[in-house]
Amino acid sequence: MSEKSFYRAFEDRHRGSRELIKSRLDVYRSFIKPLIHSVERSYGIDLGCGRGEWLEILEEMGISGLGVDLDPGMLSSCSERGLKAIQGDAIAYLATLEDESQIVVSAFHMVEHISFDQLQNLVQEAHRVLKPGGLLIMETPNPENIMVATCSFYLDPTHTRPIPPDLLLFLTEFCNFSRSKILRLQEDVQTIQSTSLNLNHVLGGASPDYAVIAQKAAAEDIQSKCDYAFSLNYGVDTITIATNYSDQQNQKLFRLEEAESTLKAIYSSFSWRITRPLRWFGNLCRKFRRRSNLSSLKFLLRKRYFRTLGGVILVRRLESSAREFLHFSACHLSRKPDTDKTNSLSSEAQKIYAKLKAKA
Amino acid sequence: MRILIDLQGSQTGSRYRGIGRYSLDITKAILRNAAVGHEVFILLNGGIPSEITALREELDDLISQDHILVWEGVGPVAYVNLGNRWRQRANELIREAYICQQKPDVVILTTFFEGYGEEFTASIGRFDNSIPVVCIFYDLIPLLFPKEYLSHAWYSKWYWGRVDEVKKANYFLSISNASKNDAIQYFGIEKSRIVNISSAVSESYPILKELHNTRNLLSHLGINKPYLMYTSATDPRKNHLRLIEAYAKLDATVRKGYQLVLAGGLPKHHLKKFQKYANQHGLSADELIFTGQITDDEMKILYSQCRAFIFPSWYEGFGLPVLEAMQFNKAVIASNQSSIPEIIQLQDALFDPFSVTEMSEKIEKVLTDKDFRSALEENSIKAKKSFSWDYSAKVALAAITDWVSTCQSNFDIHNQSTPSESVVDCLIEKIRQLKLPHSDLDLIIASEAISLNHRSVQKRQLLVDISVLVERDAKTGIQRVVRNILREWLLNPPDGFIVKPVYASMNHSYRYANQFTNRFLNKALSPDQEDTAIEFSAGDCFVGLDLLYPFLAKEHAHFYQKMRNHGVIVQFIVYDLLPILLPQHSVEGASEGHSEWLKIVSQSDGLACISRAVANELKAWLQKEGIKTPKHFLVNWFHLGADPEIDQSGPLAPHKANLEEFKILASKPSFLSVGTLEPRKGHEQVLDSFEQLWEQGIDINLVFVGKQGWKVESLINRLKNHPEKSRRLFWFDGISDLHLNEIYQTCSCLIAASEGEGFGLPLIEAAHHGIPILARSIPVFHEVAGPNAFYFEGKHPQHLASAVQEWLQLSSKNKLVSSKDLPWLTWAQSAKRLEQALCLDGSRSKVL
Repeated sequence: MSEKSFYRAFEDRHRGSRELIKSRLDVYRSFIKPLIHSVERSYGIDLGCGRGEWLEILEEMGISGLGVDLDPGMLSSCSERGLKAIQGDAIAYLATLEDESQIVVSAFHMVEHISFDQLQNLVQEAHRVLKPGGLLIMETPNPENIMVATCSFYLDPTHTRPIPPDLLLFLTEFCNFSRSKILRLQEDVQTIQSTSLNLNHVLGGASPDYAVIAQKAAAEDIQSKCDYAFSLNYGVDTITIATNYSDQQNQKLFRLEEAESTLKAIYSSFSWRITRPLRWFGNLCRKFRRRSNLSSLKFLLRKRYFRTLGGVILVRRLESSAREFLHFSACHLSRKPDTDKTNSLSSEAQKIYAKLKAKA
Repeated sequence: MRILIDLQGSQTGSRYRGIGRYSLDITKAILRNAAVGHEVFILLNGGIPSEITALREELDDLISQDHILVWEGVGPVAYVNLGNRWRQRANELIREAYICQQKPDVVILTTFFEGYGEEFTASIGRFDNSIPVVCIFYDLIPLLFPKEYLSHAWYSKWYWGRVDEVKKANYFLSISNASKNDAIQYFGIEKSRIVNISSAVSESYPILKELHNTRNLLSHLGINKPYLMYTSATDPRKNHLRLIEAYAKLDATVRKGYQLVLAGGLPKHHLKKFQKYANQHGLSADELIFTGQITDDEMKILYSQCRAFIFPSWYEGFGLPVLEAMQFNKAVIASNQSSIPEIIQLQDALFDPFSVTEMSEKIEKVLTDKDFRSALEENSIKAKKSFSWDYSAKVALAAITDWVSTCQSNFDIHNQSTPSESVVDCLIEKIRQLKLPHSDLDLIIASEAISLNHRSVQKRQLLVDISVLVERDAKTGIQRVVRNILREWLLNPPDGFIVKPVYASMNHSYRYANQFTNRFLNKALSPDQEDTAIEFSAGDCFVGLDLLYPFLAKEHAHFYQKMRNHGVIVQFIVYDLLPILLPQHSVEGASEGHSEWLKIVSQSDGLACISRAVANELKAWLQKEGIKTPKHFLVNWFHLGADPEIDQSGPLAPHKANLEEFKILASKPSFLSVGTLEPRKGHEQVLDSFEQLWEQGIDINLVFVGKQGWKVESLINRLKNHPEKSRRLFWFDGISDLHLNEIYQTCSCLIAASEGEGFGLPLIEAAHHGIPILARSIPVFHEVAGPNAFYFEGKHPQHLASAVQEWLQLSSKNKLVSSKDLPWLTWAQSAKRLEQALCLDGSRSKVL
């Protein structure tokens, strides 16, 4: 079995549809749009362009994009749509470009296929070829997501190793990009909003992909155009989910304990005792009515009782292991705000907060 | 001159090391020597809360608590985490803005190269440049030995960043002449901007008069001969390898009579390396002793017993072990490099640390030549006198005063200070200009911190915690106290305070209970009176009036500490210790819960109990549990009020007058017991004793008034199925106050048989109604009723039965002691008494 056909077959199975991939790239539009010059032609280069979804988007935005990919099969999809793409080694091609010629250099799910030395090279060259204010975008699987880091990352045998977001971010800082940002992407919106998180959310709910967007230094008026896009928050990481999950479990336990004590109070209350003969009589009637089903009913009730009890035990055990797991994150997140927004601050602090948040 | 000392050096991990101890010692010395003409303030970082209480206590004798300033910031800010950048920069601005507001004439930074992996914030000139900054300069070890200390790229980047920042300081205090010269040479600091204030032995290093366990320790460590001692960390610059080599080079006959002791802990791989090296040079295991980690006291023992001390390090900021050895008048030989000669001050005692031969010769000389050794010992006695903290502090203060006065004019011209009204606005503007990624949560916490740091001077707040009452009025005894004290304080606030009820829940931290208070005082609700988070500053008082559930108190334990860190006086009311002292009468788990709650609230400034009896029980319990309380912790007591309460609970229960009952009650002596039926109230014993009396033919009535409580099923059974029921035994459950009044009028005596009470309100009620009291002899009843009651002892029904008979006899002779003289307080008086118990008038023994 040739390597090429294996990879083709693998891709066919696991790669998403064209529409799906294009929709995921929309998030980057708001970063690039402000940089497009009205008169001059803007150029962009996509390293590892695949079937050209990103090139299509660049074209829609009025940027002249060029793609580079090693796989000729992919390139045919590009040329069919009139998108410019050449075959070759992406990093080598990058080195041949002129200084300050591009406004965007992109690498989607590409950097996890190369060695760290090559990655450093890529970022350095990208910095060279970008115009002032230009953007470097690198998207790659997010190892903060536990399922990704332990399993799904390795589904693709050509992946080298997972890259932690802080490492990629630091690399751009180190190569003198003036500002960079981590965008966590492709998470299920349920994970952020859900009020009944479970362990699946904790293990696999964090954003499965992330991107680092780095901007080359430029004059204030050019750089500030991207301020809004850089100021937003994207995605969710495992620590946040785990904390929310733990909080919800605590709440449940608390309600459980409250219910327990209420129940105790009821059982020891005067009115419960007084109605005992009534309950006995009612049970008796029910017994006569359902004589045949009594044994099966009892069996069912007992089973449910145990299931509930088991559930409580399981929750408690998970609670303690989750507590251990979260020990370091408890130190990391020294505080969290109250659940309702404005009242969590004093009146003076609210005024200061408003000033800090105000748009320039 | 107003001096502000930033004492973060004693808060970070450095507090266990030389820098931390130096910071604290020099600060104390400055406080001692700055009395005339200088006002000294201490600045602490609220984001490192764990040591603040300890530092406040440690400095308590030298400075008044309101001169210790604490600023709050955002966290985490450790450099090592890239995501902390915005917070790091914001914190620097927040700290400098806070300092700016205090308007000191000079700021002294006790440490600077911190914060790589932990919380620490210090910057110079990022907010404005109006205040001169003095920095203590320790050493340049990473800069001079980069291969060893700066090999980690990230750490190196951080270190150089700090170097650039520290060069912005205006003046420097170095810990030795050598480090002063290093600063001039490598930092390019002008001679006029740095002074050597030297160092001294740590104040926490007193000399032990008697050294116990000397022989035990030495034999435990395998030291059986006179020994040459060295103690230090095991960095290469400490020169252990050459020392081993030099010692091995000694004459064999000499070596036989001595041992080389390397004292102190060291990493395993260093230990292995040294041992291997020693082997290679022919030193056996019993000639070279590694003590491993030992305590300070054990170190002192080793110092006192050594034959001589050696210090071959080739670079030091100061070299404290040399001075420590000199405290014990020992002969010291040492390296002639960097700052060490300054301490020894005797050329003969020094050697070249890079020459093994020289070192070896010196070792041999000091061990074998008695005259040489005594000369060195004499030198130690003499030289150590030139080092003291007071001397260092005086030099520092003189130098700073001089420099500030000569440069004052220059400073004012070049640097405009920010007008005080706009410090906050300037700070907000600067934070907004930070172009680094941050979250909304960061902005929220920053707003919190800024509002706390720049709170305008206002009237002192009395923050009254009414958390449980706000949620729901359960009409328990405790809630009655809370309602009444709150009402009294709202209507008559203590002098100099404004009363602010507050509450917290599991979902949120403390807020002002504005809405509840308005309803409580029957005021109209104004729409903008939301319950916002509380603000506080030093001088406010927090009183935990309501009794919080243990888990709620635990949730907010750190908040109580935070308030105390900022100089708020935090105190709690203790109603009783019943779940702990009578666990058999309480619900399961109540004992542990109450213990936990007490442990939390005893880490406060004081507790006020509702009776002297409870105060005594509390003190005994604290001692028994061995709980360490803060330095000026007080346990006080007060008494509750007993005015008949204006019942606000709604319509009275319908009153069914039963004339028959009243005829029976009035016909013979009727004994009354009022209170919820629960085990600790002793109803079982009362019923048993009355059964005995009835058997004996004594014709008296017994009346119980009270709701059914917990754990009393068998008692209730007995009451319901009793043969005397409705004849001579009555139980009224859930009756109106009017009905109860009538019962009081008809009865002859109140029985108070509780095994334990917090206060004993029923006794006072009896006194109101003028009926005599028959009470169990427990301390709190004696406290409340004094001689105005008849007491009985014993848990057996027989005891109470005979007491009742005695009482009947006295009654027939009209020799009963009446209760009408029983003293009691109104709630207004009780509230005033509570103010005294809480020392709100500032009459605490600690300085406020």
